[in-house]
Amino acid sequence: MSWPDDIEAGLPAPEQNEPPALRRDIVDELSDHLQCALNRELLNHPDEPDPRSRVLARFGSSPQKLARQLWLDAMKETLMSNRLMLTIVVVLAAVCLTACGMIWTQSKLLQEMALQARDETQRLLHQREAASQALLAQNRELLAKLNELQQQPPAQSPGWNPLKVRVLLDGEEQTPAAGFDVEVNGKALSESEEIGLREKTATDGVANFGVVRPGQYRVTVMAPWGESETLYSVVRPGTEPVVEVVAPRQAPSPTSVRPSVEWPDALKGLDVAVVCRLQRTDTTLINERAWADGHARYLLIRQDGTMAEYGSVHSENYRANGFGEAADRLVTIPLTFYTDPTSLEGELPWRGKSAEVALLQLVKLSPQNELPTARGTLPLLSPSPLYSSAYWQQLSQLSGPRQREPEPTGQTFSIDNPDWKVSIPDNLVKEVIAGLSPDDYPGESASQVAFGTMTFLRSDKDGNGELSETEANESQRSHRIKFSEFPVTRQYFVQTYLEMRKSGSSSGFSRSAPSSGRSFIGR
Amino acid sequence: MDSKLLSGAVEMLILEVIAAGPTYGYQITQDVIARSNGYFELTEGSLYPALHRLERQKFLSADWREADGRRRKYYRLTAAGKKVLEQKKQEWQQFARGVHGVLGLPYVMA
Repeated sequence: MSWPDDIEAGLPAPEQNEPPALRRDIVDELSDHLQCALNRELLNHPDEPDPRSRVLARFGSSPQKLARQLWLDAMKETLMSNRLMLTIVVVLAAVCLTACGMIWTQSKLLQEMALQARDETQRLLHQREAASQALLAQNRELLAKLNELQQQPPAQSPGWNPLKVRVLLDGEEQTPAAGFDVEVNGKALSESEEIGLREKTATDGVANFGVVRPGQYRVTVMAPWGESETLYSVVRPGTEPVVEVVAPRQAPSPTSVRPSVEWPDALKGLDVAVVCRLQRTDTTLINERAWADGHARYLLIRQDGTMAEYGSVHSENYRANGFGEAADRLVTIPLTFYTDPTSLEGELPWRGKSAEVALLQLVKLSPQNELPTARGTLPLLSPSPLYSSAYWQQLSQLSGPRQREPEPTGQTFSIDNPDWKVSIPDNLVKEVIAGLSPDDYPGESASQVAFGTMTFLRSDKDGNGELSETEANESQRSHRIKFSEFPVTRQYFVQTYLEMRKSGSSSGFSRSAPSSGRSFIGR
Repeated sequence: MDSKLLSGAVEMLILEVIAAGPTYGYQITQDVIARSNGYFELTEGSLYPALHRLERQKFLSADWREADGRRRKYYRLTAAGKKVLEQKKQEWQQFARGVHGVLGLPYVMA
């Protein structure tokens, strides 16, 4: 066997990453060494037998073993690297397998949870659906019962009785009257408080008031054009009364009138206007029952003959001062017209045959907008005692027992003569003049008079400005108003005070009206 | 001789022999024997692992040549090998001086 074959037999099996020349280099180097040693042995001891064995014995170690050691030294790093890589791969594979296992376990768990949740949701849905169905069925049942109850006559209970009012139009056919207002007021037998119900008639002419307690009720039917009739109905226990009312078929024919004022010379040029109330006096008879129009209309008539109509007229502290209706003509305040006026050019549309026209007030007009701004000193229309609920004690000391001031007596006109000329009585003219000049008031008469004093607080436009001390002192002076001398030169914020004074007496009292300030532009 | 004494100096002896010029394994063993007057005898089991180790450490470089119809590997000292040889020589001198001092033997610097 040659040296190379002998040496190569000791090398391990080839590795994958082994350098291609490694084995050959090791074998060649060691073979060269042994061959050199053999040559020297043959040269030095040519006569001795078996030189090869001697060379091998002197080699000190087995050539195969040495070759193997050299190969292992050369491949140590590669082998270590391979083993490390293998170890890493194995570890990674183990980690991956573990992770996969965990993920699989988790996903299995999640899947199971999702399935459980789905089952639970479905179960809940079924329960809910069942509950909804049950509730729906219950509701249907209740609704059916309710319908049954509604269809039954509600007068089963003697304590409650259905009440209906049927309105029919006058005529042979007596067709149902739709759109009529019906009010039921009254007191049940067992109740202490009065009830008030209001309904509109339906297309069948019936206003259904449901059920009411037995008692006596006042039934008022009002036509859309304002005519109304009131009758009384007694609701007995266990009955189902239907009150039938025959109403006018249509509104009175429209016409027009020409209200005007016969201005006395004493008032001419004083720039005062008249506020008067127009009330229809005639009625429409249906089945011997009178249908009257209770709505009043308010007119402001100027000296030049122009007019403005207002829906209603009130004073701002009408209720605050508690003077009742009389306050409308007693308290010195700006008038408030709750609805915008309608200007009329001499003619007033009118329905009805006659009217009573009462003089309510003579007013001073604002030069700016010709609306009443204040009534200043007010003339009484009659020398009656004052009435007050809020100041009864104080006023009674001045005026004796409480009385309501009588309504002004009006003048009656007919549409047969559409020129309605309102005259102002002489005594009223005198009181107006006296009211406009309170200093000239005669004094010892038995009548009381209310007249206003106004304190003018000069202010800026929005009424919130502050005044200097001088201005404030000067501006807070009280004035009795004489309209003809009223030097309005700038914008004022007017705060009014009521002063009640008994003739000839220095004792009086004053009361501030509740924030009845009003600003206007003077001339 | 005690092989344990030689094992620490094998690499130094190999480097020193190769420092004389390119040479191969069998020649190195012969040179060591000749230069030590037959005192040191490097076994192949020590020589070739040391040669391959020094080659991997870049202290030696090698090339193959043809000789007597065979491939023969020749080793030569690299610059790094020269530095390491000098360093090992100095260390050996200090070691020998210390050993001689302890033993009370005269030490002569070569």
